Amino acid sequence: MPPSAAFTQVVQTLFDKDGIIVTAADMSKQPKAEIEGIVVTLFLHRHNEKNVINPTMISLLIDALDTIDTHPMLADNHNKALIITGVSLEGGNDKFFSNGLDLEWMLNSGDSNPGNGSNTELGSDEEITANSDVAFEKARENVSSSTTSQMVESFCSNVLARILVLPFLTIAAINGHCIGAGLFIALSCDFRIMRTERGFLQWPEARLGMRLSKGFAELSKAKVTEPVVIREGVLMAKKYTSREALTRSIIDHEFPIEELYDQAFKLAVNGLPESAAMKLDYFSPKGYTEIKTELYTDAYRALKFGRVEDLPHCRL
Amino acid sequence: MPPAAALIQTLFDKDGITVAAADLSKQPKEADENEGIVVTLFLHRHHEKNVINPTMISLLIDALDLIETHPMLADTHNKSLIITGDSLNGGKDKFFSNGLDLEWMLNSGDAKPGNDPKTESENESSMQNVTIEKARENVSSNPTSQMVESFCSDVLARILVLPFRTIAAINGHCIGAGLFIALACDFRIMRTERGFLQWPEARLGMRLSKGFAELSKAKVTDPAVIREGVLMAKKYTSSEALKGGIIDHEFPIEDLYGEAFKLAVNGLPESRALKLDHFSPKGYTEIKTELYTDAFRALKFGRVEDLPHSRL
Repeated sequence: MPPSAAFTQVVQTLFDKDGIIVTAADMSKQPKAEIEGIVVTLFLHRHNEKNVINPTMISLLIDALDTIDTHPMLADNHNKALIITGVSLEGGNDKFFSNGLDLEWMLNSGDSNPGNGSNTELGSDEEITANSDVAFEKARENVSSSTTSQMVESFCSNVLARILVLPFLTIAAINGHCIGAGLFIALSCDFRIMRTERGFLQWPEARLGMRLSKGFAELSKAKVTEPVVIREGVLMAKKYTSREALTRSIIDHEFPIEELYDQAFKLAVNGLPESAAMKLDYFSPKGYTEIKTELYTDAYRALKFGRVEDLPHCRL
Repeated sequence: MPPAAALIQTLFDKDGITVAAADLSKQPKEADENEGIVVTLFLHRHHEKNVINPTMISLLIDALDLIETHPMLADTHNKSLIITGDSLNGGKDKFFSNGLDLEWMLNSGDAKPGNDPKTESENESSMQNVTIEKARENVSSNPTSQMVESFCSDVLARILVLPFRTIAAINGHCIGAGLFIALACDFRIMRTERGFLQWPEARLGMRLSKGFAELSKAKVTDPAVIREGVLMAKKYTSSEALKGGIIDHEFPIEDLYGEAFKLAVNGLPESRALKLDHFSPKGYTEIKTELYTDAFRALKFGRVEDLPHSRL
């Protein structure tokens, strides 16, 4: 993918481990600095395994979120915004935002074999083979195995619930396939922008014979409120192009890949509480998190406190 | 195109409630789909406008049981369901359903079938006002409560989470409880030119009850439509219902069933249109229950006496 053309900000890398990177651009230190505030980016660059969600990824995301919370550069300044993206600014492989839960890991349910992604490519157009039929069956059973449950619950509680109520604006810059758990990362953000022309966004569960689980269901309902879209996206497992996702209001904007990150950055700058666009004079991070929790109560509760075995009709 | 009569097998036919199944494997080879079963639940109790009373509820439960357990249907998940009052042959079918049987509720326990239910939209008289008063009081009496709760729990909650696509083909007036049958379905299509869709409760001085309220909120999310439909008891024509997002399409009556059939075929999990490769009926019901949790809980577990501010 071509690198982001106009991006020339001066950034500091605060975290860089196994493909998960956190950078911070201090706007007051930029060329022709006119504003203040810090634009933080959380890069998902585990592209060798399509950014799938497994215990390793979850652990890295938690560490990254901890860094964003506590790093000296960020801890005392509420004037921030966060971009989450898989985009590769150097033009490397970034075909996936995230391919969702690591089915291969779940198949082996407890083995720490990192998935190589070959049999679990949900977002591609390749045919599902007979072998992967067996894989899906087993994965579906394993969703309720305790190791997989723990992983899913940790993802919901320690990653999604946390992103959902972060005390600053969050922007998912969707650089490619955005499937299942990957879509839920994007839905927990305040804004979603997506690259044009390639990549799908999908809730694959109906196609895989799986349930959503309470956390994912409530999050979807909190951020996608049109019943027609919920019906089409969830009950029909529709694969959305960026254009279709935009028309259905699942995403906010679509941009060519070479502009995606710049546009995310613009959105982030305009979303700084002290920006000219916002001027939230008495902004309080604590209050902001509380507001988000009040707005997305059902999603927050289900993500934070839900268990995989909760029955579908539970009210959490 | 709706299937030729030869493809259709009648699985259930009692007192105006009919279940028919069209097995697509019997279609000619050049048809779009050659597998799957389109089931139709016909509401043909037109002499009493398909009102909801204990007899109707009992028949609907039997029909739903049959759809679940009939040998032709039990072993295949590749199915869809149409619910309609369309008579198909041009016979009397002015109503999808006129809602709760107020006449039955007036007599609250007597099994007299209503022959002139007072909710008919065209007739308004002072006589009617008196009967509505009495009906309103009787809503909380035992037999009526039981009936409403059974309708919610055994019919609506069940339709709401069926493990296949459901389509209400609204062939005429769709009022109150009739509208709730349609809202319990995944899709709603309605005939043009005649017939109204309405939440009549505000006009009748009744409350919605938790189940009906949560169902309405689950399927109609535009606050402006909820306000206009529920608080103003607006009578929607098909065009207005379409604009308000209450229905998905409108068609002339002669096309209604054919279009419902198309929607049903395209909703088969194994259809070309959907290709839900690893479809699981159990998973599908769970997904629907997760999507419509509040409506499911209120319909399944709600009691008529639950206070309006209850969170079920």
